[in-house]
Amino acid sequence: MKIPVRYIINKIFLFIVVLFGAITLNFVLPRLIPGNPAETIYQDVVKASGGAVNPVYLKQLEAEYGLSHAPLYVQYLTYLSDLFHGNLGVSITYYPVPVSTILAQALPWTLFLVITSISISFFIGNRMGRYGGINRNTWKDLTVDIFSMFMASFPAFVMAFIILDIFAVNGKLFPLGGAYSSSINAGFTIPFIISVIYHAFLPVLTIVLTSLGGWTLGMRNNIIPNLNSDFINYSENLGMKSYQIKSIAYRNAILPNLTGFSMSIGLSMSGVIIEESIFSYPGVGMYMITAIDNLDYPLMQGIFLMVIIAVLVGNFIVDLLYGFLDPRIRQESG
Amino acid sequence: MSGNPVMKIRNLEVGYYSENGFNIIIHDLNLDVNEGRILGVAGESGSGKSTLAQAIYRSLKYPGEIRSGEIIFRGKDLLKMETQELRKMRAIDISFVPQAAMNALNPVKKILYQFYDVLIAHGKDPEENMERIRESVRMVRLDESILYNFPHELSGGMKQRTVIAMSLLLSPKLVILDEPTTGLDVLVEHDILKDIREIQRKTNITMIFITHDLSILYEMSDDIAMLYAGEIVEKGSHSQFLKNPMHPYTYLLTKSIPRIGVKRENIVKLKGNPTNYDPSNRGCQFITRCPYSESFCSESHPDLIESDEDDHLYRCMNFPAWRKKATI
Repeated sequence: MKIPVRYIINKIFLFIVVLFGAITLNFVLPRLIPGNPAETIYQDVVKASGGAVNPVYLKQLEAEYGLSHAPLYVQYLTYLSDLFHGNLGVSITYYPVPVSTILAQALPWTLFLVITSISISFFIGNRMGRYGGINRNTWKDLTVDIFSMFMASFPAFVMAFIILDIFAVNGKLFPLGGAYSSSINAGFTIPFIISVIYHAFLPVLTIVLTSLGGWTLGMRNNIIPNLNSDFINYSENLGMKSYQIKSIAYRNAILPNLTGFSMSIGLSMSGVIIEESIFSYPGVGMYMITAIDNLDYPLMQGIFLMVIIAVLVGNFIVDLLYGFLDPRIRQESG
Repeated sequence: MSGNPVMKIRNLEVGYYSENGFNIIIHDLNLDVNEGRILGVAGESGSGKSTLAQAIYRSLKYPGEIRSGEIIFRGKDLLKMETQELRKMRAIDISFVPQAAMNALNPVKKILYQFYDVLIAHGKDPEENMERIRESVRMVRLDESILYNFPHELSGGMKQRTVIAMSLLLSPKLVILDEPTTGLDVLVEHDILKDIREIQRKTNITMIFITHDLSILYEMSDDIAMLYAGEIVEKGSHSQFLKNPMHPYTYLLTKSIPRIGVKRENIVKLKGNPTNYDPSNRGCQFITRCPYSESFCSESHPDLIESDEDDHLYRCMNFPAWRKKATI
């Protein structure tokens, strides 16, 4: 297979442009909020102490959080240069731990959770949709349809509570929280991996169950027109076997779902926030809730940036994959 | 003259379910397909040509349904066959070239692997049959390099040729071509038809060629069956149709072809619109448009009558009387 070089270069270029735009937005948005975090905290302290605070404290706060009154473009350049040095500022909640350290700790867990559960639900969902679509208008299809519509519209946090209640609180089959047992040392050992899987089981189950329906319905709706297409009719006319026909239809029907896959990686990054805090899973989401509670702007900004980058990278990977799977796309842009 | 029939269609009744019940499209159709010849099936839009093609190939899908009849191919009734048995016959014994060849190829697979799929489906090793694939591609006058292309990289004419090559890959005995040149420009169309004709002469395959284009019909066919409102109104050989048409419909259609040397005023225009088979009409189905109809035409339904010519059938009660009235 020829490697579509121009296609890949185009996609890399697009990736860089969009990333830059996103970084800029991430810089602009917090500055559109009236006031600044230092002021907010200062006002709280003033209120709490009845006004007996030295105004120098505000300057101190501003200095600590790296806030400045310099012109916007100077701030922007400082922000960019900090970003390239991996300096995302210092967390307010976990002062003086740098945001980058917190992210480095939390991000792997979130990525693990998101990628595992989205992959599982993508695989099962597509298979279910294929099953429903192929057996269209039978009770099999109806069962798949009703199940996926129910699941797709079920709120994820309610599902998380129900699952936690059944399996952890009452059933005591799974742990209530954490990413691994505190009695085991972290490292690539078999007991550790088992412990990680054991702890991740319920959060993954929740995400899989609630995101399954979307894939199933998408796949079912894609494969039905494909099964009636001219090329499927012709394949039947040539006497192809049923498995060949199904695989032709499936391959053509999965393309739109792949686009959805990349988007869902990003969406799930923000979606797991609530689930992580329900399952006390030490991922980005749990820190996000803490950051919001404590008006921890640097941490929030850092997490937003992570989510943005996750969405972009996900899109980028699927763009490349799409180029390989659908020859038409590869050529149009290359 | 009368050949050895490869396929015999008997009392075929096909229709579609609609809100008003079952609409009959093909009514009591009997047809013999002679071996080694091209049978052209022609008719206006809605006359049931494509429905007939799909019914013969048993690829008709709901809401279409074959009500009754027999299609005897090599001693077996196709309509009574199990789906698996039918699947194994396809592309090997009897093959189909579809109307919409533009979209008949899988868009995400290279042509070569689509040929492979056909071989795999019929339990043949693709690598061993590589020469066969090359041969069938050469047969439709395509370059072998197209095997390594995706369908979207080919022009419409090339796709059509590819589809023909694919349908003929396993050298079937009978091929049904359902308006195989729809959507192509006349030059490409002419080239492809010429090639089909040549392939037929070389391999002696029996073909059922379905078209609405009379000039193509006369160019391609050895035998012709003319459909009107789901019935065969006339069946005969190419020369019989041109020299001695026995049904007013055939006669008028032939006269409606513009020719060099014939003034435009003298070209016949067939009045009225094509109709579907009307079960409430006791008489001749063509009566609404027939300029030569008599009162007895509406009283009973004409049967397909054998003429004194060999293998020439017609469905008209007013023959040969109408011919005297036909002036042009």
